[in-house]
Amino acid sequence: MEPIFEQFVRDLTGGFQVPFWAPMLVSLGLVLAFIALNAMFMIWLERKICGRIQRRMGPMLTGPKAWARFSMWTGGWFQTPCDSVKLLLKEDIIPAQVDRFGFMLAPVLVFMAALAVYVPLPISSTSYAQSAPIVVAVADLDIGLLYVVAITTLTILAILTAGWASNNKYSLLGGMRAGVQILSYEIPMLFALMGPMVLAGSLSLGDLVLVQHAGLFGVPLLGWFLVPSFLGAVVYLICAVAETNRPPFDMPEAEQELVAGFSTEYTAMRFAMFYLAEFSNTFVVCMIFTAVFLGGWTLPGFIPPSSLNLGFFTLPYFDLLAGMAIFFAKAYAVVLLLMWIRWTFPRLRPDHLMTFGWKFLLPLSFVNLLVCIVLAAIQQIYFGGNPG
Amino acid sequence: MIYDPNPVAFWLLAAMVAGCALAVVRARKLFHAGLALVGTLFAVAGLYGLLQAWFLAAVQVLVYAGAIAIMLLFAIMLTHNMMNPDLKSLTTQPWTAAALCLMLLAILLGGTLSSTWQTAPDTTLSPTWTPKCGFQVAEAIPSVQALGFRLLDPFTLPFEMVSVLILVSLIGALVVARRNPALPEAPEGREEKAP
Amino acid sequence: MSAIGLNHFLALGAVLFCLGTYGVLTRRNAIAVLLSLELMFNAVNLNLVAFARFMPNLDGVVLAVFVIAVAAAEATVGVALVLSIYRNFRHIDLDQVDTMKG
Repeated sequence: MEPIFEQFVRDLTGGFQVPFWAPMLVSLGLVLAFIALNAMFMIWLERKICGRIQRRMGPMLTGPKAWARFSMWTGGWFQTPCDSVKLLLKEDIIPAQVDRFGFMLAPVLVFMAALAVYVPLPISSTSYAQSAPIVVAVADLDIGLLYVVAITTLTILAILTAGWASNNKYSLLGGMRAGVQILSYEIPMLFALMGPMVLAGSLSLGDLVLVQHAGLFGVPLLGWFLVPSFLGAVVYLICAVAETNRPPFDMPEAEQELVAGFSTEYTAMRFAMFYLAEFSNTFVVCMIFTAVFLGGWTLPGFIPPSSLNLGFFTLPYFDLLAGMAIFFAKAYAVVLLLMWIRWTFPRLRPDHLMTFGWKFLLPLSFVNLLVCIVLAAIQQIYFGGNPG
Repeated sequence: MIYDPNPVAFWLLAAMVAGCALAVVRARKLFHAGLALVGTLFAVAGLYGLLQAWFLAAVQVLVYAGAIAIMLLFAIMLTHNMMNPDLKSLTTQPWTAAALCLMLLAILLGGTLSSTWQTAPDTTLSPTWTPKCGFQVAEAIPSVQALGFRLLDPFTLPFEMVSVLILVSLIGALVVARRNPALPEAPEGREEKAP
Repeated sequence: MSAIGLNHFLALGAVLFCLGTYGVLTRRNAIAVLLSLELMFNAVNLNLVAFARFMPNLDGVVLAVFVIAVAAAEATVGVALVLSIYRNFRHIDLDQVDTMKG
């Protein structure tokens, strides 16, 4: 991120050297804006998909009437901005009997976790005006994948705190259920991700994508880790749904049993933080799936030029833009899959959830790890080292 | 050159470690002590990051803050009268213990600060992480790969023993915590009381 | 502010260790004692990593990984014991767990 931003500013202003803190602030602002806007769009999309699956139209009344007449997918565009304004303007209530410290800490923690997890996610790469291709991420950490999984655990803490501090039986039950669920599914998730780690020989998400682009056994089409570690991809996706507390794994906030689970006592902005973080986490999960199993910003055998000559105008950073388009197209495909799952399957029972996670997903992820180790050994012996 | 961490970051993290640790031992609500423990763990992970042990920082957050601390919080929720957040955690003999600990601190500080430690320049470190994608990090950062080789080459036996230890503790914990139907349980309602 | 050296980390480790000791000595609640124990583990780990960085030698980091694994095992058994005590006594006040009848 830093070299690209510095180069960009230098090109724009003719040699201005940005101070060292500027890239950090710019990244923070970009990520915050992205979280807010993307969550708004995802909420709208979720309601539309839900409507489509249940043979109704979803929100149609807010926004331009002419668009709504055209088709159900163009109506109701202003629904989520209106909802957001409503949530922002509502009275912020802290009930009298809650533990104030924990009650106020929990939404901050959950949002911090949602924000921090964006750091190593690579969305594209560019070689425009650079000596070597640079991965576009806030920072492509050496331990990226491990970092992502580690930061996710902060969410458990926030939810437990919310449940306990609310001083409400439903909240506590919801918080405990969420804690147990996320903690249990973290383990198969980590083991499912270990397959790609072994295949790539690296924990950095940027390296993972580049290794996938290089292909397995010299065949680019085999490169996407979806193929060699298919079981891992399936296990990861299931665990990811469980980690984000989305249906069919939404026992922590099962409306029919627990009112709203850990967020029962929360109103206005604090509730919005939980809601925003949930959607942000869902999208992050899809981004990780894209980067780890779907080849990230690359397509097999396709390397976009660093700048595109349109005749009258040369478009700089074309590879960056093309990579981002590919990346977000893939990520949104996974988002649609998750939404399809959400509105199709009924909710599990907590004991079924535990049995499923520990007795089915965990052994499956072990099998996947074994397969990946064998494949990586074959690659190592016959094709000479990691493809990256 | 001898490694030179950023002083501002160090003092901020040190203040966080000390403050949160004080809260762990002095917080009146046990749940707050648990939260403070997580704060300490995060600050220590930050210090590992400052010392460029990135892998260890991630493991610290993943295993310590993410599993051990959460398990302790669960234990707090399971054993306390949960709906009563005002239940105080009692302490005994604070002044005697404080005096003892100050003496211990004096001994430790005197011991460590008066001795001279062999510090060496960074050149002897293992091969550095060479990124495949152009992103440059500071030199001489011990890579995950180097750590992995170290773990499997001279430390193979301890590595395997640790896995055996974890298995044993897993089974032991299950046996200890399992409800034994043959034994009568203490009746409900005898909650913790302040003497 | 002067440069930060090995001694700063060791002193911080000593402070953390003593705070942990203080907690173990004063707390009566078994889980609070476990929390304080974790502080002591962290103090040791901090020293190990500081030595590993300043010596410089990766063995300290490897040892710290082992310490974290052992701490996980310790916490598991500790929590199991606490739950077992709670089941039998309905409290986890260590001063009052003094019968041998189980």
